[in-house]
Amino acid sequence: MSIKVERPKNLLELWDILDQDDVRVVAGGTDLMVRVRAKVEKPKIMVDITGIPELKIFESQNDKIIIGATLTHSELLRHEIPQLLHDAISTIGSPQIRNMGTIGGNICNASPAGDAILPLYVYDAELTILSRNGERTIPIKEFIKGPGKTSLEKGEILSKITIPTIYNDYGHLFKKVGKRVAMTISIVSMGLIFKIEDGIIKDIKIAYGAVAPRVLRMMDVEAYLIGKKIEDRVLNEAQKMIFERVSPISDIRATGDYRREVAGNLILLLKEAYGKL
Amino acid sequence: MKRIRFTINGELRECDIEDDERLIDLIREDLGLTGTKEGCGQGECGACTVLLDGKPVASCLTLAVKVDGREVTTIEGISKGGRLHPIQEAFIEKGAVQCGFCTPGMVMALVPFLTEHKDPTRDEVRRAIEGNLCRCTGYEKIVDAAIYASKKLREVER
Repeated sequence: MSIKVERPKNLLELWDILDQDDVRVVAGGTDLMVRVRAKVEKPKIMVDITGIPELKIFESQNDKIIIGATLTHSELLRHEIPQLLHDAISTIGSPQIRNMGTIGGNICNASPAGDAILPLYVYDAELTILSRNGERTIPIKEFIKGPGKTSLEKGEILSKITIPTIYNDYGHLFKKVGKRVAMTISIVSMGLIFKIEDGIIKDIKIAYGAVAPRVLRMMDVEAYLIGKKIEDRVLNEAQKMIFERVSPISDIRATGDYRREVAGNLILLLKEAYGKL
Repeated sequence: MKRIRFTINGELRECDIEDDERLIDLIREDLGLTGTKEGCGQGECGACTVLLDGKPVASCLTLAVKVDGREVTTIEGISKGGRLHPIQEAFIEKGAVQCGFCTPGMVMALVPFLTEHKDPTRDEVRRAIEGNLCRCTGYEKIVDAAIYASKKLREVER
C-alpha cells in the first residue's frame, strides 16, 4: 500500500532509480503530496531529488544566471535574480510553501497558472534536461506541452534553468489577480518587461498566465507596441488584441469571460508602470 | 520502513517510519507531540507549521524521511525552563487565542519572523502569517500580539 520513497545522494544513484517502473520525481512536495494523498496519483516509487548537490547550484555569469532545479522559492529570493522573477516568486503560496516548493517543481507541474513559469517565458529562459546519456537544452516554451504535460522523457529530469540578465535595465511589471493575496492560484496573471524612452516603446516582452492551456507570450502584441508612443489609443488597441488572443476556461475560480476581460485590462497598467520609473 | 535520526526540540531521536509517512504523523502519532495541529492536510491553512532547520514548513506536506539528519522544532520546543516563549505570553496577554486551533501554527510562523524582524510593521506581520488561517479572531488581535511580542523580545535582548 505504502509508496516506496528513495532519496539518492548523487546522480548515479538517481539514474538507477529512474530506470524502474512507475517512478515519480518529487522535490518540495507541495503539489505532489496533495495529489498523492487524494489518490489522484499513485506512483509505486517517489524519488526525492533534493539531496543531489548538482541540482542546488546558483551561478551568476556575465549575461546570465544559472539556477539549479531544486532551489526553493525562498532560497531564490535571497539571491540576485531578475526583478520580474523576484516579484512573481514572492506571490507564490506562503512562507511555508516558499520554503518547501522549488522552481523546478513549479516548472514541471506545467500549470497554466504557474507563477514562476510566467517570467521564464518573458525572459526566454532555457532549460537543461539531464539523463544518464547526457544533457539537452530546450526553451521553456517548447518544454511545456500543455496543462501538467512536459517534454520530459523517462529517465530524464530538469536539472537547471538559464535566464539572461541582459534585460536588467528594463522596467518590469508583474500582476497576479486572485481571490486573495496569499495562498491563491492565479485567476489571471501578467508579467512584462519594457524599455520606453521619451514615451516611445523601444522594446517589450509580455506573457499571460491562466488564460490558455499554457502560459502565453504575446508576440504579436509586442510587435504592435514596439515603436509606438505610450498613449491610451495604443494601449486600447493592445487591450483588444489580448482580448482576442486569450482562450480562458471557466472553472471554480472564475469564468472565462471574466478572465478575458481582466486579461485585456491588465495591459493598461503599463502606462502607470512607466510613469513610476 | 526507514530508520531516521534527527533532532526534535533539541533532543536527538532515532525512529523507524513508513517510507511515505508525513512529518505531522511522525510528530503527533509516533512521538505523541500533539501541540502541532492538522487542519486542511493540503498546506493551505498553516495549522501544522513546524520549523525545519529553523524555517517554517507545512508538516502535512513534508515527507518524514526528509528530516533525517536535520532539526525539527515544534510548539513544545520553544518554551524554556517551564516558561512560555515571549510570543506565547503575548498571545495570551493580547487575547489572540480564541478556539486555539491555529495558535501553534501562528506562533511557529512568527518565531523565525520576529527573530529576523526586530521591529516589524503590521503589514509585515500580516505577510509573515499569510499562510496561516484563523477562523475566529479576524487576525487583528494576532497582529497586536505579534507587535507586542516584538517589543518583549527587544526587551529580553537588552
